[in-house]
Amino acid sequence: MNRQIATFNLGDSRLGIDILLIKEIYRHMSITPIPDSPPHLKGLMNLRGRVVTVIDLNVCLNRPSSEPIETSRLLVLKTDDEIGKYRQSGLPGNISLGHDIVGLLIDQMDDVITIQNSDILPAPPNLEETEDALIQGVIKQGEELIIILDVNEVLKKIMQACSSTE
Amino acid sequence: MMDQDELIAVFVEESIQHLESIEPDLLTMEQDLDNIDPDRVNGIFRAVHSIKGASGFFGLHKIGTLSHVMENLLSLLREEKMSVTTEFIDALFSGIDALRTMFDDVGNSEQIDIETQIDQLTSLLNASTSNPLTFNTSPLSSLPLTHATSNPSPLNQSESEVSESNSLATDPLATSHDSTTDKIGTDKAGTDKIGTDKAGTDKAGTDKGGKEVVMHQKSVGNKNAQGCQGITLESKIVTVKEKAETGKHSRTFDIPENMLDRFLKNGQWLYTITVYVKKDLTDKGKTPLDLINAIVSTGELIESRLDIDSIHGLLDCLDNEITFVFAFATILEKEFLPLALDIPEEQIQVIDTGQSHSLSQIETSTQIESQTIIEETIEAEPKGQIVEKTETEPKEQIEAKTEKKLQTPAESKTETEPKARLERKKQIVPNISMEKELKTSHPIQTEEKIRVGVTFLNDLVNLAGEMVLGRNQLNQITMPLVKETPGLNSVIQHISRITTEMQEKIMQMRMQPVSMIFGKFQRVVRDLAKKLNKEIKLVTHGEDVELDKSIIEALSDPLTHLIRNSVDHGIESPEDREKAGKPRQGSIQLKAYHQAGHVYIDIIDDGGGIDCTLVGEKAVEKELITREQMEEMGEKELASLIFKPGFSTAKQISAVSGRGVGMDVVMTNIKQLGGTVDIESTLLEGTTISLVLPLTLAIVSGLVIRTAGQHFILPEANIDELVRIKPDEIESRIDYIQNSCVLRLREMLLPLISLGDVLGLNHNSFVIKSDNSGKDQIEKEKQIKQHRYTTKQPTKNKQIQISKQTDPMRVAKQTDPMRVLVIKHGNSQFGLQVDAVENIEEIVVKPLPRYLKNQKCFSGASIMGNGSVSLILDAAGLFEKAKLHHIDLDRYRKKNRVDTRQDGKDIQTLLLFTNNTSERFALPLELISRIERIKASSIESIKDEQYLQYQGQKLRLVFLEDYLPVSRPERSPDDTIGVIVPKQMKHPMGIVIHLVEGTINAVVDIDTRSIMAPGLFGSAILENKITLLPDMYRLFELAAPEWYLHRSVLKGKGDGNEGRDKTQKILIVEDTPFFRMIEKDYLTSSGYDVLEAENGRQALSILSEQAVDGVILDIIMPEMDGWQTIRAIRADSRLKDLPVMAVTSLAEDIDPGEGLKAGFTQWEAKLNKERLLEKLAHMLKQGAKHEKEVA
Repeated sequence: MNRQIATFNLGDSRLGIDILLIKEIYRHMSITPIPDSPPHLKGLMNLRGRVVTVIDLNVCLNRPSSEPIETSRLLVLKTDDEIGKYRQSGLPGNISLGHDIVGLLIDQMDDVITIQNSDILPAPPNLEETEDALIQGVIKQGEELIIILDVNEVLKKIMQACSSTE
Repeated sequence: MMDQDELIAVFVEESIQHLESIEPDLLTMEQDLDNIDPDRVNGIFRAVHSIKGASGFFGLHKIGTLSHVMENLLSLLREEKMSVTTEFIDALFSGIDALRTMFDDVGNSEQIDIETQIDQLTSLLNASTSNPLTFNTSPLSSLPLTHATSNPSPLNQSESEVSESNSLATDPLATSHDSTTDKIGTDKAGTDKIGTDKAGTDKAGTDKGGKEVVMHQKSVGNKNAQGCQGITLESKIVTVKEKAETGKHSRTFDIPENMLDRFLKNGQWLYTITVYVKKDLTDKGKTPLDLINAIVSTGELIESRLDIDSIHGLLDCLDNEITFVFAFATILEKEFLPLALDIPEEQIQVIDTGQSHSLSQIETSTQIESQTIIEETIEAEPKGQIVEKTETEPKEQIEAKTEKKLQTPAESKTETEPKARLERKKQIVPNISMEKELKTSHPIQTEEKIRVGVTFLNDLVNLAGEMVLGRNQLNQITMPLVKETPGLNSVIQHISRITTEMQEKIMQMRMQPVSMIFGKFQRVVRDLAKKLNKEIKLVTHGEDVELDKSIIEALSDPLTHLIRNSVDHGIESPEDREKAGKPRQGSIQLKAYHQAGHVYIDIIDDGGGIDCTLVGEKAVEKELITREQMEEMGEKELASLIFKPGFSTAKQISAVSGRGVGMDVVMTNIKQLGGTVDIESTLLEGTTISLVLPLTLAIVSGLVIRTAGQHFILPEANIDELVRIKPDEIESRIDYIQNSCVLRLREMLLPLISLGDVLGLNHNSFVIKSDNSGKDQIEKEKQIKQHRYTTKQPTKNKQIQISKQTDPMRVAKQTDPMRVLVIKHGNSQFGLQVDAVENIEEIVVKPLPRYLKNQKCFSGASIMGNGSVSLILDAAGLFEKAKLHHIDLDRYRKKNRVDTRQDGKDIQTLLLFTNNTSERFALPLELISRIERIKASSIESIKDEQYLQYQGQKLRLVFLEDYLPVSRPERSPDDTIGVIVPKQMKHPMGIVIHLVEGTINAVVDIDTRSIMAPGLFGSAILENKITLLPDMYRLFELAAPEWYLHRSVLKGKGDGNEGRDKTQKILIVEDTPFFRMIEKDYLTSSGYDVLEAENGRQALSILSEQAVDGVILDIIMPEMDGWQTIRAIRADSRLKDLPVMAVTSLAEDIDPGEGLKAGFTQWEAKLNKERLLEKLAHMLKQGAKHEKEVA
């Protein structure tokens, strides 16, 4: 079965997320920081009247945080309500995105690639410092390695970080 | 055409509404068992009947059976064959409950066991009727039988009657189509006939006529119906009638007997339906085929006819409506037909088959007839029938004629037939009750309504919120363009206003009256009281007060709990009550009212009250508080302990409610709604619990503040006042107590926290100035965060924390003034230091994402005018995070209070302002809620009154120059003016000023002689300038006497002053001449005699010399303060019951509980005229009562 993966750059690596999970890619960012919150949360943003929680993907992946640059975009994820209809049509795993809109801050968008489930390989153990749990697998495209993120786990990690602050 | 699922939803919804309407009726019936209002019985009967009727259609047999039995019972009552007993009401209640359970889950209603209810009801039925009835599980088929048995009536009589009528019916029909002159003749004849008619029957009343008679006829027909025989009979009529009219262009229908028979057997209804081709079809974009399809799918088309009578020629063929009339049999009840066929209800008429399913059916059809009649007459006018509508013409004639035009077979057949009427009248005379009940049913005019789903409504609310945001953004962006672009301003204002209005309307849609929940408490109280063998009356006030739907819903449980609690623990048993000298019947009042932008709901019982000492002991026992704490607590505080989790004073926890079990839940629920709970209890006299609730949750007014370059919002409701401290005063006004920072504010010491510190935004490395760009800020933030989270060294963190604690010194070094928000927090206050206060915005509250749920400092987020997101601060959370030493501070404050007093005189804080003239004015700051800067052009004039739209209210504006002897300023619409909005006013009013000069702390020496006028206290020299001191409340009275009229009326009537045969004498003890004067003015204007004393010593000497009815006592006074005075008063045996009210300018500072413990009867803030007077009147009344009791 064909899957489409939206790929993007963050730091030195190329990452990917199933396109079915993405609501939109947003450009104009005016992020309100949240005082006294874990570093995973970059802040809050207004997306046409709805409040989006902006996530610093770098922090989640145990990398140093970076500030938005010219090419930076916000990958806005769908909510549980919105992915509901894809559940039957081959959305991998039991994904729960919650009811709040979440946006992932990335450095630059890249192509959308079409792959087969069988193209996804297990992550090599030497893959930087990123926790295994957050990685669904990797795809080899020529020389390049694309890391497919497990969005579920990313959100779980953030939730944990948030619960432990108080 | 709706499908069955949709119809069933409508049915369920309506049925539940029916059930809700029955309940209060039953309760009222129960109150006066001997005097039952037949209208009420009918109402209940109709409601039950409609439930029964429709349930058959949907195949809901259990619902049908139960409602059928209930209906039978009710019909006996209606016919006065049985009397109402408590058992009867109980049985009906249990039936209603069972029905409700079934409706709550219609799908499974067939599985619910209703045997007990049925048994209960049937046993009642059998007991009350000599010929017991049997019940069939299929209500529709069994119905005619039961009716028949209960109403035996000779068959031949009705048959002869009807045939007679038919033979005569032809006559008037013929005449109606003759020339106009002829018609007048007939009309007169008709009148005569009716005259004889009346004479013949010896009936009183002059011109009730036609309609009534028709009804008689029908009710008789109904009563005479006898199963199958009835059907045969009626079918004959229809056929005969048709014959009589053949040859005319008649609109009657010929229904074959066997067909009619079949319809009735199948439980189908017969209707004639008039369809206007243009109105009902063409205009709705339908073809006749659509209609026919709809008809065929709903029922059976018997016959139809196209009526082209109204078309007289080519000229009017386009203007006049072509009507299409058809006879139609269906199982649907009349209520559903308009939905099914998309035809207005008034165009549908039930054919009286003589076996009508119920009386209610006929009634509705009659009502509708009378409406159509009027329409028809008007329509008829242009067609040369004006003569018909002369004043003198008897009503019944018009009716008779239009009846013919409409050609409802069953109606018209006897309509103009005097003889038949005569016959019937005779017969009806003995049955007056039936007639009365029919007469009193008026068609109820209700506004047309549509149902909208809540989700849809919520979407609309959200959109409205977005629109407000959009408007705000637009305002911001266009602000600089307004000057250059002509016309832009007015467009913006227009859009602005429309947006506000729209938002309000949409919010209103969500508003629901509290009667929604109040309604059910009658039942709750009744059932509970019965169970507990108590006699309790529930009185509700203010049912029309509206609240947001979500609040209403969330309120239901806490209120139920409180009410149950009052019933269970509040009200004593009748025996105990009698012993205590109270009426056997206890009363619980449920009161809703608006005050200061909030809705108050009071639950007042006249029960035993709360034993505060017992509560205190219990709390100590449960280790909720320490004994020391308990001893320091006032009565009110002690009483409030019942809201603490895990508390119960009930010696026995009953099944109903253990006071305390769940009281904390009440508290939590109300707090979640942004409300507060207040409790006031007098032992042996009763308890009052007040809930204070916001009107709506979605939109709040918030203050935009800035700290460390970031914007936050603080709900306005949390803020008491804004304080600006001049740089040179910072040092003298900020103190430290046990390492925490306090602010000297007037005579109080406020705990002071810095927002930046609490949120961790201020860091010793950089003191953020307001002009920092946001991005820099974010970057710095980030670094700090990284630092904090990556280092993971708690000790280091602590160090940062400690260094932050020294921040006030940093503040002190600032050259900018310091901004402090005084924030309400429960019963106390604290100061919140921020960098800047920007403006007030109406904000749409958005819930926080789940990731931030653990954040105590924020309660939500909102999108600002500039499109950015701001966090909404949570006052309680901030306070908790800052963890202030509350109690220590309280003690310190008390100790310090005396020290802060200066040479025995109270210092007043006054607001100085000008009115664009040379005069200067001053008002006590305590009276003022806020000062608004507005454009003069935004003032709207209505006749001679000026209004300002302010927080969704119409603020009436008062111009000083209109009432005071001062010069008149020049005003132009381009001015920016100030409006002083006072605190706590019943009616929103504001004073227009020009500029605020500032505030002044001074000992005010009022000169009441040199410059005096109504609305003026006098003048004073402040800062070397003569300053006028307006009497604000007096000004308002002058400006809007109509709002204050009721007060003087009440005075005359003696409301609140009952038993006041002579003028009451009040002693005011107050050291500040200014306040003394104001208070004296308040009291004298309300008709009290006033004595004055400057301090406690003077007061005591006055008290020893003469008797007074009450004392108003200031707390802080030289020589002998209020505390000492009250002790002295209470120590004197003669004065120990004297009502004494404490007034204080520091309402929040001193705990009222403490005051009450010291012996004060009441406690009130100074200068709150309305409340002061109210409380005084109440206090005096109580005092008088008490005296009587003692005597």
